[in-house]
This record gives sequence, structure tokens and C-alpha cells, in this order.
Amino acid sequence: MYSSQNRSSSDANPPQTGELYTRKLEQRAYYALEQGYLTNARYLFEEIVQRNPRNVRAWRALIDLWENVDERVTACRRVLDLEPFDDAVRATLETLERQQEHTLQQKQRWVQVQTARAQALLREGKTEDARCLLQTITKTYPHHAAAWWLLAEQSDDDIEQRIHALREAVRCQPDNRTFQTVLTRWEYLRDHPEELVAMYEADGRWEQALRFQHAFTLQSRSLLEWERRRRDVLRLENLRQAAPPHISRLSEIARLTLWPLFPYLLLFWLIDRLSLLALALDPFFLGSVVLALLGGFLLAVLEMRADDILWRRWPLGGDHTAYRRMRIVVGILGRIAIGLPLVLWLFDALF
Amino acid sequence: MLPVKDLQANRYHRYAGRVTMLLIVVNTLILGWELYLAYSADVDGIQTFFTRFGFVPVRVFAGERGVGISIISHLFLHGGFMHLLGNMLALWVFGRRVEDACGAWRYLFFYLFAGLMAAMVSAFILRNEDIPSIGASGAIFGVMGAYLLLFPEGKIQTLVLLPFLGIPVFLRIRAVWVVLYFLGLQAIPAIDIYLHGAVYSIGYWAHLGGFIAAIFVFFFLRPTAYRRYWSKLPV
Repeated sequence: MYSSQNRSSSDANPPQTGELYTRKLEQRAYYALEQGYLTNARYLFEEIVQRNPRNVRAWRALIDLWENVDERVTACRRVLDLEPFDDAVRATLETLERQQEHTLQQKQRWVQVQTARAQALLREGKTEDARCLLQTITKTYPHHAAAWWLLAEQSDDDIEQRIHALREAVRCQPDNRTFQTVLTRWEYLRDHPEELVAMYEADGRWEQALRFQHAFTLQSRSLLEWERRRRDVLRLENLRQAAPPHISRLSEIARLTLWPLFPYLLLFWLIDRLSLLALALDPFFLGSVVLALLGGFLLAVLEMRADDILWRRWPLGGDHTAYRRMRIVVGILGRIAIGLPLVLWLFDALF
Repeated sequence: MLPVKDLQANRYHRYAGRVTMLLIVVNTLILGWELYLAYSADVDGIQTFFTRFGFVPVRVFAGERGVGISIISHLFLHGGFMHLLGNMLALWVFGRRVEDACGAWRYLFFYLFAGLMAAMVSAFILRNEDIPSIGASGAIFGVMGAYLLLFPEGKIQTLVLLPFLGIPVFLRIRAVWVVLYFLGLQAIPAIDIYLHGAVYSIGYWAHLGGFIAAIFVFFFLRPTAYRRYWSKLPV
């Protein structure tokens, strides 16, 4: 009540300054303290230290008035800065610091227990409960990287929330390379929604793919673009209805790695007069096979989109545009590796 | 029966068909070069050209030096304008959507693979053949086979001469019938060659060889098309 009166008066008149006003404030604060109006007293002492941070009496009063241990420690430290030989405050500070450490340990233990609980919920498939719990953990204790990490993993529907959680995880553990890389990857996917849609489509997660494709369609800059993206929405809706089976990444990579082998196998087999033995002993053939397989593998990796496990492990530092560059480089290398034996062979055969 | 146009649009890439077009251009340019040789060089010039770059099974088995290039080069040679026109029309009609389903790079290699398979089957069946084989038809039959596997429901606008009347009409025919019709045309002479050693001026076995290569198209499909195929969705 006192505080609101004080505020309304200060709103009506220009703020008062000077030693006299501070003294007046101090008198009011002590009066409030004596009368037991602790909240008002705290507001007044806070205003005093704001006006004069060297007012040791106000800081000393705040040690008892503040409820939060961290704030009380701050007040003690301020008093000791101004009066280093105040043994009573030093003793209080030591007690408070012990208390602070104890609280911190308790909090950490709580966070660990709750995180384990969230993990257990995730294992049971109770994703929504786990997400709520993780949000509570991160709100209570925002320095727990593992909780932020788990929260990021569960933010399938909201890419911004995922990126926020990952940024927090990176803030908690700036040296963690995995956090950095995953954050970079998701920032890249946020900026390239078509890749995000393709990734969900490849995983057979039609709902997510559709949601992002809808959002992507709404961002179209021309009618032509809108029509093109709308066609993709229809295509995804058809796919969702048909619910095609998921084909494992491993078999897809194997299939996409093998295709360059067939033309080379036939070509060299014909050159070696359809003799398997001659083919097996031909070093140029063997080199070509290795190159063709390598090229096929690189192009397969390229097809697997940015979220594939192979891309996740690619060391790209903090630059998320590096993905695009790296994909271009991989594409060029793959095509060179596949085409080079044919070009060399043609050159040899012609000249 | 002459297929004229594929009536379905691309599914994956708006501009798919560029490699098909490139192949048509390359084949046309090479025919131009052949015509230049035929009309400007000495009489044996074009003969030497075909002997060197055409596919001759006897030379392949004899291991003659410099024969390797003919294994690929014969796919780009044609005996005349009508030969080229027929092949390129079929390539355009059936190739565009196969390219769309495979992606440009894989489609190019599939085309070469089908051509090589055609050459290989032809070489096996006609080991003693010493006349140069030329033409892209082996590879094109591979593309047609792939079309049949991937888009059996596809509709092809086809120019048909009405029986007895001889009036040309455009009909929309399902791809499966068009492809099977052309396959049927190859099968009877091919059996005749195999059983009776008959001599034809057309490489029927090469066509069938190319058609066999179509089975391998699944290795060349882009992931989405592959998944759609196994989900029984239209590729």
C-alpha cells in the first residue's frame, strides 16, 4: 500500500533526487520495517540502493529482507565490498553460501531425477507427458543441457521451439560438438523447408511432411510457385492416404550405390570378349568399379537429405550454409567418380 | 502403329526430358556427320566409318584392336533419316517420364546400360555376324520396357492406320498395349533367327536384349519413385 502511494506520487511529480530525499526514503523504510510492513520496506531499500549503490545500511537491511538466497548473497557481497571487516556479515555470507550450495545440489538432484523420469516416459511412449515435464525442468533449472536436448528431440511439431531448445543446450554446454552440429542442421532445415518436407517424407512421417508443406505453400511468392507447392501438398495427401511402407535407409543407399556398376560391368565384359577371368584381372576395370561404387555412394548420400545420419556426422562447424556447399561438392564428386572411367575409356578407345 | 505423344505430365521434375532431348540432338548431329561423310568424302568413307564405329560381334570376339569404342558408338549411329526419326520419336515418347522417374544422371546410365545389354545379347546370339549393327533401338527398347514396368496405365497418343481403309487416326492407347505390340513384332523374327538362322536387316535380338535390361530399372529409380512403385502407387 505504501509502495503504491509512493509510486502514484512519483508519477504525478517529477522524480525527486538528492541526499535529502534519500534520507527521507530511509526514514520511511525503517518506519515500515518497525511496523512490520516488510514488503514495503524492501521496495524502499531497493529504491535506496538503486539511487545510491554505496548505501551500506540499505544493503545490510536487504540481507534480511530478500528471500531469495542468491539475492541475499549478492547483498552480503555488496556490504563486504563497502565494509570489508564486517565479521557478522561475513559469517552470514558463509552460511548463505553453504545454503546456496546445498540448494543447488538439491536442485541438481531433482533435475536429474525428473530428467530420468522424462526419459522413462519417453520410453513408454508418453511423449506429451514427457514434454510437459521437460518444460517444467527447463523452466525451473535452465542450465541443464540434457533436459534442453531431450526437449529439442521431442519438439517435432515446432521447429522454432526445437531450435530454441538446441540454442539453450549449446548455451549450457558451448563446447559440445554434437549440440553445435545438430543446431546447425536444424537451422539449415528451417531455412530450407523443402528439405525438411523431403526428410519427413523419406521417413514416412506424412503428417509432419504435410504440415510443413502447407506452411511452405503459404510462403509462396508467386502464383506459379504456389501451384507447384500445392501439387506437392496433394501428392503428400495421396501418400498419407495410401500409407506406403517404409524402406530402410540402408537398403536405399545400397540400391543407389549399385546402379553405376551395371553399365560398367557390361561394358568391360564386352571389351574382354565376355570372359569373366579376363574381366577379373583387368586393373582398369577394377579401378572403374571402385570409382563407380564410390560415385554411386556419394550420390546416394546426396539423395538421403540433410537429416540423414551420414550428414549428421559431417563436421561442418557453425556455418549452416556449409550444408548446401557440401551437398554441391558431394554431388560434383559423385558425378565425376561415376563418369571419369567412361571418359578415360572413351579417350583411350578413340585416340 | 506409331506412338506420337505421352499424354501424362512429369511427376517429379517439371523439366525432366532434358537428357532425352540431348540424346536426340546428339543422334541427329551424328547422322548429319554421316550424311556429310556420305556426300563429301570418298566412296569408302562412310563404309569405313560404319565398320569402325558400328558393332560387329565377330570383331568383338576376335579381340581386334580399337573395337571397344564400337560397343558404345553404335548406339549413336543411324542408317538414314527414317531410321533416326522412328527411333527418336520412340525415345521422346517413352523416355521423358522414365527420365523423370530416374533423374537425369541415372537415366543416362540406364540408357547406356540398355544399349550395352542389347549389344551383349546380340553378340551372344549372332557370334559370327560380320555386318556392323547400328542404331539406338536396343537402348530405346530398354526405355520402353522400363516404361511398361513403371507406367503400365500410361496413355500414349498413337497414329494408327485403320485396317482395310488405310485412314490414319490418332488414338489414345494404353502404354501396355503399345509396348507389347512392338515387343510382339520383335519376338517372331527373333525366334526365326534363333531356330532357323534366318537373316534379317534388323537386330531383333538386340531389341529383346534391350528389353531385358528394363528389369534393372529399379536400381536406377529415384527414392520417391521407388517407394511409390512398391506401394502400388502410380510412379
